[in-house]
Amino acid sequence: MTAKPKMSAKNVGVSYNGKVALSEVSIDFLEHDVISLIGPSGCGKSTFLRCLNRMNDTIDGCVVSGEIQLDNYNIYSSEIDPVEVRARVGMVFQKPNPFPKSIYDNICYGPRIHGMANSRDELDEIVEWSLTSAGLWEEVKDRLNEPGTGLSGGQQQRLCIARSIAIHPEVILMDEPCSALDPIATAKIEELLGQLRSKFTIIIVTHSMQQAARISNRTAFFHLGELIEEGKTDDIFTVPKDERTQSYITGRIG
Amino acid sequence: MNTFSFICIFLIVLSGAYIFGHRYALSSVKNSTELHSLPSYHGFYVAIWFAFPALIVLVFWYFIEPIIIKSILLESIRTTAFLGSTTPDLLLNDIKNLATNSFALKSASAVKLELVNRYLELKSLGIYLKIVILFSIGMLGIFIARKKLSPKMRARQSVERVFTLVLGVCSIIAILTTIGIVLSLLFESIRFFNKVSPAEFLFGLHWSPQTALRSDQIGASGAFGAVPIFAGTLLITLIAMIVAIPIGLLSAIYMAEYASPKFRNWIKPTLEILAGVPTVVYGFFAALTVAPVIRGFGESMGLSVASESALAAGLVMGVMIIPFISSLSDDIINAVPQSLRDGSYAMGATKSETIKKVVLPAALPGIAGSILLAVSRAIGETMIVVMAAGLAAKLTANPLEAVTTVTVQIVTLLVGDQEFDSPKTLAAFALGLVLFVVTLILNIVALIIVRKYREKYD
Repeated sequence: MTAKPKMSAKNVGVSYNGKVALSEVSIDFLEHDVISLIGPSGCGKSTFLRCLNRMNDTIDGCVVSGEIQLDNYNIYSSEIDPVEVRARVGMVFQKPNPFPKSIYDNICYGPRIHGMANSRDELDEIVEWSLTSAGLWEEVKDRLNEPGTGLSGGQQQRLCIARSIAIHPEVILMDEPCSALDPIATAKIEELLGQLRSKFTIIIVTHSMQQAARISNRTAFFHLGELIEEGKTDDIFTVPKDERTQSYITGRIG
Repeated sequence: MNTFSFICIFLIVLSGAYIFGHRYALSSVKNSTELHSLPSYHGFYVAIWFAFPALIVLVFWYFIEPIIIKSILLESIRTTAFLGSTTPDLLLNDIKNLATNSFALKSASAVKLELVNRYLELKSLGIYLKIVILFSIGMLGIFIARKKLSPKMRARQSVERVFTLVLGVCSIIAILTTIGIVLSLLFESIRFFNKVSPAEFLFGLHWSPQTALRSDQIGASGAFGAVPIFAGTLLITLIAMIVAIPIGLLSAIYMAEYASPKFRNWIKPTLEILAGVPTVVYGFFAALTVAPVIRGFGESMGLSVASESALAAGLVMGVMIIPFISSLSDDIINAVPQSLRDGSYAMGATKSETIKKVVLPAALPGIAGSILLAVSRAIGETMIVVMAAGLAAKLTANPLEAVTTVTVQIVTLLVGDQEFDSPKTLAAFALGLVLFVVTLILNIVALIIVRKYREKYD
């Protein structure tokens, strides 16, 4: 493990209105890696994920302590603009949430607000690249002006992935991106993740241990607001160090 | 026996019937679980069997009694051959009036007095007869119900069927009333359009509905071109909207997106209080406070401002409309799913970018609906314009002049002693019809838009 971490969390704790949801989480994420966060419901894994791009800022009463480094910058330092952090750390949500706009405008949303394109041609290029990267181009190239909400669930989720990679983030956070999808759409997204890892660092929360085993290099297990253990996916699933991890992956807790 | 004691006795017998049914059901079985329905349903069952036939008799009696009394009295009029120059109907009316007015009775003639006494006799006889018939029919109902009562009887189903019927009738009453209002509006308007052509009414530029008494006076025919009135309504509505849309919409955005929950919980009810201020209060605020201020300000700038200007009425009406737009739009902006905002924030969008590019476009149809509802409310608003907008039907786009609106004209046409078949009063119904059709269309369009928008996220 010689590569320097893309993101690293040090002693991160989160509380909602004084109620502790997460405490003392320290973990490193390597560049161009796929990391799964697993654990039973309510264990704090989604809360932790939302710390990584400061999405918790939008929730009233949420207090984050500790330090999260992105390329050696503490994203919780007072000089950092959360808007900038989110442009570098993208996010895909559990439920597909395309904007009620055309497919084309959904993709262009980020590039437009960040002034990434100066002409229609450049925008066209970004749209094609993003949709191709998300494996959606062939399916929608003839109906770019139709509303994104008219696509199937799996297509909508890939549209959301295309939308977030359109602004070339360095890290993509995914919060159970397949939990609202059928197995075929899930397989397509998993395949897509395999291709995206060459360009992005991907941190994914999942409820499916099979999915974690299939797609990720490293896995972190959360339980009751704590990070129990983190390591190579193969090790976590075959020789877990902690008893609680063992219980979870064999189905005794959670 | 007066009405109050009658109602009291009726209610006592009614509760007696209930208790009887309740007791009877319990006494007919050893264990109350043997009953099909709860004992209280048996009680209601008996009470309904008492009340329904009795009430039907009461309604029937209400229609029948005057007819019977009239025919008996007419008979006695004919036998006494007292008619003089009046018709029997007028005489009958006279007698009824005398019967309720003891002061006038003193100066009545002997023949009339006799008729009045006869009338009062018949009346009191009618009351006793009514009570006897009513209660015996009711008792017959209780008797029938008692025959039907048995432990296995499905009393609950019967009672619930009756209550469903009552609920249905109540909802139909509201609809029938509306239909009745529309029909009366329609028929009176048709009478108006028989006298004045629809084309003249809808496209004529001159409005002066005051018809003269004699045909050789000036303005004998009256003019019914309603365009100046429509224009005045539009002008005031436009001014009101120019005030209400920006303030209402921006405050809705502030409340929904920026305000802290604490502040929002305080400011939203406060804004909604504005909607509860009686319009007549807005009216004298417009006429006594705003209008003089505007006139004074205009004069200091060298402009001539009418003391009842469209601007004053429009401004105050706009303030009145603000809570409609802000409250509805606030609800609609809140209904935009949080996931859309999250999606936008996760792209590195700022709050204002998110609101401008995601939240508002998503909420736009609903906001348009709320604005249309506010417009229809402004068009139908009466009190403010009656007090502050003036009466002169002037065709002008100058907000500093006095204009008049549809609602103001309806009020002035119908206030006071009027004959109800002159074009002047009938014109009020035609104006009302136009008002009704316009606001109906606006409401329908607004509701369709709002509903369509709701479907998108559910």
